[in-house]
Amino acid sequence: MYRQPITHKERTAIVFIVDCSISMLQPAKLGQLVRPKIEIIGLICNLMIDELILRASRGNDVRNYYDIAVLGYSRGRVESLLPGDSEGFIAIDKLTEMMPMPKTIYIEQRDADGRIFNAPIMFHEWIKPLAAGSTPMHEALAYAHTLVEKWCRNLDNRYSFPPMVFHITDGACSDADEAALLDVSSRIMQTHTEDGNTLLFNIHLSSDTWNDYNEIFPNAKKFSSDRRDRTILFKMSSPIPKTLEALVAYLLSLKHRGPYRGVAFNTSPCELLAILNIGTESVNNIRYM
Amino acid sequence: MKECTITQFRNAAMHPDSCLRRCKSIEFDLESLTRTKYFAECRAELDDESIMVYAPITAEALTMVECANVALPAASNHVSRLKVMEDEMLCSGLSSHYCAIIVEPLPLGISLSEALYTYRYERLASGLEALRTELQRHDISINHLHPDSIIVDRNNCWHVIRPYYATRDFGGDNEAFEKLMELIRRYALSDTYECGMLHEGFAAYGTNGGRTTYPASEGIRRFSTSEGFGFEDEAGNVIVAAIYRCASDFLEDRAVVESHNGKWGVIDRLGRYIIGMEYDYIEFDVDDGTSEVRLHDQTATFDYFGQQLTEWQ
Repeated sequence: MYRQPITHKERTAIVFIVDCSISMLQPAKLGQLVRPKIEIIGLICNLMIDELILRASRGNDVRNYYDIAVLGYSRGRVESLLPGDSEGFIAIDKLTEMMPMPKTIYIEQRDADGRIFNAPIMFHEWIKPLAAGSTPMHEALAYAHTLVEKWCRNLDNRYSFPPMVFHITDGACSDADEAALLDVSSRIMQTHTEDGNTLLFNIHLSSDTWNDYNEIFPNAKKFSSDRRDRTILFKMSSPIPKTLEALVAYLLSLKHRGPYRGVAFNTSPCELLAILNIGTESVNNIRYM
Repeated sequence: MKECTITQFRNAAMHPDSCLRRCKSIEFDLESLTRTKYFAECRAELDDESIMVYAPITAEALTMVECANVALPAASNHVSRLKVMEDEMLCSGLSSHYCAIIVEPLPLGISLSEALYTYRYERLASGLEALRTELQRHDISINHLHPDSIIVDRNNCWHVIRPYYATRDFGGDNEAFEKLMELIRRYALSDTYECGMLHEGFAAYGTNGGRTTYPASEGIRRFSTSEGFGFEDEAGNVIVAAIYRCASDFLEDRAVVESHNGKWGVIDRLGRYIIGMEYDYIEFDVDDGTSEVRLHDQTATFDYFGQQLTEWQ
């Protein structure tokens, strides 16, 4: 299980679900770059999409190793944030045909001698999320469930590495209760290919007004929390399969042992970047066939 | 089609006079509208009675209510049957249809979530035991017992709400009873707690030195004492002391508060002032994160970070 190499015949799917509620206007820090969380998430997702395209490229061609969806949710609705009129997945080679103009931002960094310089980061602005309204998390997860279920039912994807869903939020759900949230997330995790069940990762972003508690992919057997919202998020997340444990521990520099659960609390943008890399690193499995 | 969507239910709750057939005078508390696994639900008032209205959002929902009604006793102080009103609500959309709604009278009292922090151990433990005996007497299991599905009235009678998972045969709630007992042991006030400090029954908040805790919103609970309203996290650590006359729940990391001298402000979840306590009234709009602020009969709009966006007018 979870061993299927990714080929253009057996591609995989990646879904990013981004909380676009008004609290995402609060600032976050990526290196020395301080911007509203929503902008930082946008930047990270854009860099990830660029990375996926790069890894799916061979010569001048981009091959269809991925179907990708980026969903944003706020103001009681869910929408695709990717360009074009697709409401769900876009094959990565098709997405490349809609490539926007590259954009450069500068992040203040220090060189080896301690001197400050502005390091350029170039990326394509595939998504441009805006923050507004409350947090219709259930609606978004239900939407994602519809997408991955349909994707898994497609016979072409029968033997593929299962979809990975990355849900990024900074707050509490405003449109459903605990049972409904657990139900919809369990329905996502029950969708599957022959290679395994869909992996659902829930990433709670830090805010400067939250306390210092920070935990990334806790040990599934030892996790406990007094707080109901954390326990819910924990239950809403997939256990990390044995075959991915070493990769996860390496990417996230985890000091503790598995079994891990795919949930992270008060995550910094740098940690988020590392978690999303689980998705891109799986492309190391690409076989050019 | 027997079910509706949450959007159709919200629409009906906003326009009961045009979307409901018989219960046109229902007044819905739209802020309480939420979704559970099988239903959209909303608190409401009908003929001065508090009720809970459920609308089925899945195909199995109504069957479940019918099965529960078979199991539930015809007359009990602790749990009552759900009233199904067939073809009551207009579900408008591409093709409109009518669906049923389910109505449940809400007893007067506070949820067990709140009672846990308000009443003494002995009182809660005896209430729990009485509920267990009653369910055993009627030979039923609720299968969904948790602190938010129980209302505790002033006579310490426990009423089960949302009983739509109920089945015949007592015993299905054993684990839930154990969990509730554990919560009571953990959070109920000690029996040796000074009696003068107890919130007794349903006296007005803050008038008798009592402490009431409200359900958590975004991981933070409002509480009130004789000093006023404050906030604590779900583990019971006080985040903001009880210094406000009035306070809203947190919504997208912001809460509106009123001081004892009648001035209003907005705080973040660490209690820091986003908008200072110097205004006559504030209304926070979660849709765009702005606050309508009133001072000396003039109003201005402030943004999510407390910056003034418009001139006073």
